[in-house]
Amino acid sequence: MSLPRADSADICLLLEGTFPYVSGGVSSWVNQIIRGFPEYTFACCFVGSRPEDYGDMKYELPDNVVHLEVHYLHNFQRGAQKRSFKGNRKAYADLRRFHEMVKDGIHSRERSELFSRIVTHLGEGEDYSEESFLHSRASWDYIAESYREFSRDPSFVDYFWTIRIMHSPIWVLNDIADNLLPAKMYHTISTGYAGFLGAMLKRRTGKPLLLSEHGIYTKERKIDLFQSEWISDNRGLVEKNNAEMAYFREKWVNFFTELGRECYQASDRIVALYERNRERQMEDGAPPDRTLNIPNGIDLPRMQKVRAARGEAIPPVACLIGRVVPIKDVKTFLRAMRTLVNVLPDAEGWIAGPEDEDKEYAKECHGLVASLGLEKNVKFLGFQKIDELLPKVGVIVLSSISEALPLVLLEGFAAGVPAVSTDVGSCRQLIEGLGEADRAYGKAGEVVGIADPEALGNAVASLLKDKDAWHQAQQAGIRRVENLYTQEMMFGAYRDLYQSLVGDTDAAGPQESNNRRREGRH
Amino acid sequence: MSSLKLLIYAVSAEIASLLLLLSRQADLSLFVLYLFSHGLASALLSVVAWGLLPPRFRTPKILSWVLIFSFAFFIPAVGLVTILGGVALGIWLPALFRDKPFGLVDQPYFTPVQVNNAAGFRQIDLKSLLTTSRAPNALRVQGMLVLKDMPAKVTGNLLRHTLGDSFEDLRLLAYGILDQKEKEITRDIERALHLLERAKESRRYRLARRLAELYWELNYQDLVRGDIRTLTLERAAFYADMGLMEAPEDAGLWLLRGRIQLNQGEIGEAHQSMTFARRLGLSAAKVNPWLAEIALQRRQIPLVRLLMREITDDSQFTQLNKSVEFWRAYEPATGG
Repeated sequence: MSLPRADSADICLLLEGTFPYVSGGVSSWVNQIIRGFPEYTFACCFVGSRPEDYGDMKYELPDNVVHLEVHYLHNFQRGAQKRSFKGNRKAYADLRRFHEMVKDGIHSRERSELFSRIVTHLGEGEDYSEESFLHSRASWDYIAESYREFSRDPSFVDYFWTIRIMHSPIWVLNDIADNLLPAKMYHTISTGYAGFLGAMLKRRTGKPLLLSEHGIYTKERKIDLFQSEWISDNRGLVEKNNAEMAYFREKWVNFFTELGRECYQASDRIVALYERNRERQMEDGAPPDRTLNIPNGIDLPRMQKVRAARGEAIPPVACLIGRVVPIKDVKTFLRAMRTLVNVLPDAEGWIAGPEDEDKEYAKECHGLVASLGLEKNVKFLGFQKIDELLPKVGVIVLSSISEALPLVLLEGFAAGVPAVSTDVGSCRQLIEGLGEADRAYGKAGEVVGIADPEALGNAVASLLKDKDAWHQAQQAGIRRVENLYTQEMMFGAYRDLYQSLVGDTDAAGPQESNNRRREGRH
Repeated sequence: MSSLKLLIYAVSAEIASLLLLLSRQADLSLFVLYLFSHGLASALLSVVAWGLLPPRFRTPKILSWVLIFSFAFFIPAVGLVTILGGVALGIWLPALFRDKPFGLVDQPYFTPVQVNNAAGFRQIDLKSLLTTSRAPNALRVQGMLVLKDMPAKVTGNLLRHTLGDSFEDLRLLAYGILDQKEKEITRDIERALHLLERAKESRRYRLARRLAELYWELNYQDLVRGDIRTLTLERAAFYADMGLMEAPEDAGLWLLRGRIQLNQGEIGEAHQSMTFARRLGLSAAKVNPWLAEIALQRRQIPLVRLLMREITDDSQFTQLNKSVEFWRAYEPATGG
């Protein structure tokens, strides 16, 4: 199928590993936003890891998506002609200066100017071209010197390749930025690579950049890196200090932290879903005056129909709606089912979500069902239409170890299903309320600690057993969503943002740098 | 025809032509004969020389051969040397000026680098560091890195406590560490179960024993709680029984079974299993502490003392020494 192409668009969305090729909360949100603003044309720039990691599109593209392009960061071309050359030593001295400032955490005009200069000279034949980074003598010397000066890990080979592999996506992003269609503003849905691309585009074109962050990308990367086993530590037993992170691990963490920081610095507005995440963004380098919260919102009329389809009785069904991936901690849900079934032998546990993202994990989950003896009580349903599923569900369960502001809880509330969730992200805020007025709506379910299957199972059991408590929770959920988390509120807030940012460019006209770039291209 | 033969023919033809040239008779027919003989020699020599050329000098085929032939024919003797010299130059000269794919660089060398933040990590114990929210988060994350390398038996409680921490990174790290340890054992269990399905009679005992140990390990390392712990202990007991059916004289397995039962709260049966283990020859140092624990739970204090006294001094259970000493001292006048 050919992708839609256009010469220009109003808003260019920068999407890393999400809509339209991956399904999930963030992708649904993107879909919702695009459909909510038919007055704007959207371009989608999808950035993924490798082509084989993604299947077909999971969403039908809305009509106002006029352009979609797909790029992969780790699509290496092998066997290219290599040629050694001297490279510009002066340029690498500047690069060193920039890295020193990053290391020391200095934020100055000089740093921002250096950054601008570096990201505008990444093209072929320029001082910081990929060719120069990979094959020039100046680059080699800089890497070798840095190794000597900073590396706590003795392996030069690992150091050298870590640096090369870590930086290589930057030139892919540069190519994307070079060829991306002109837009009135850029909207990135995460920091990381997509966010860095946004920062590059902002520096080059001067167009406004909006960042909407659901989870905190840098944090998630960090946790991944802490646990990853592919990063080697070559220090000997007697050189090791256990309280110290492996040097290359630290390098990777720093790299992603800086990618995020550059994106925060370049963004005109930074949107978080709730207060805790906004604070986190500021800790990670977001300028406070640019940040704001816009919570997710639900299409109430649609969900009211779903609610109307419910029967009188409370179905003894606990349902986890989400992809079968480790972050959702499906195993804790399954273990909680053991407790639930011990209390209510007829209870069922459903897992509604695709299993193809982490097949190994899905297999482990199926194995766990068997070893817990829950074959009769647990069903893996695969991807489900939420409108048809929710009327059959008694309690929505969220066992995740990390969440932001999960749409499934809101959708469940609106459809009249209370929830039991782990205490992550804004789940406590959604279930119990934040602040006096919010809390007055009541508790829409129960919150338990992470990785505590027994508490989770017992909480679900007590909701399913106690009709009065269940109905109270249902009403609390409905009231909270109707008053605080409607789609209209979310669209309203984004309409203001889009209008002010797109308006900015219309008023100011394309900046000089932008003109220059476009002339260069046509 | 081999080039050596060709060479011999060529040299013979050339010698013949030279002899003709040196003869005193000045006759046209003789000169034509000379030309023919020299031409033959040059042609043969050119074939040989052309064959020896590097491939890139051989194209275009005919012209390159004609060039060599001309040298050989028109400049007798010296011509051939010249052309060989030319070829040699042609090979060496470009090689001298060509870009080499590899350049030589200095060997990188390693100088140990110190971390500059020698944070006051050592002055505080890990537990209070991780349980207080007053310590800086970065330091607490560092503390978590240390826990990662420690046995779960020791860290389980602390990690579980950290799961409820207000700082998300710490929570996730604690979760990751627990999950990792649990996954390792579960993976081994899966593998052993798989093997057991298809195992021959003779291997069943070993696999059952291994499974009992692995399920026990999940409990021992404090990785399972609540209903799942109950289930795990049931599994452990099941496979211990299976192993003992095959090998009833395995004293170690009887002890394991006893410990499982003790955890299940079946004190009577645990006592029986441990007594078996002791009878089958397991040392007092290994069994008696557990028997003593049962006796203690039953409030049979003199029995505890008796059991503890049976443990010899040279026991390897260094952690146990203190309690052995205590129970010895409990009976006055016999200390030694």
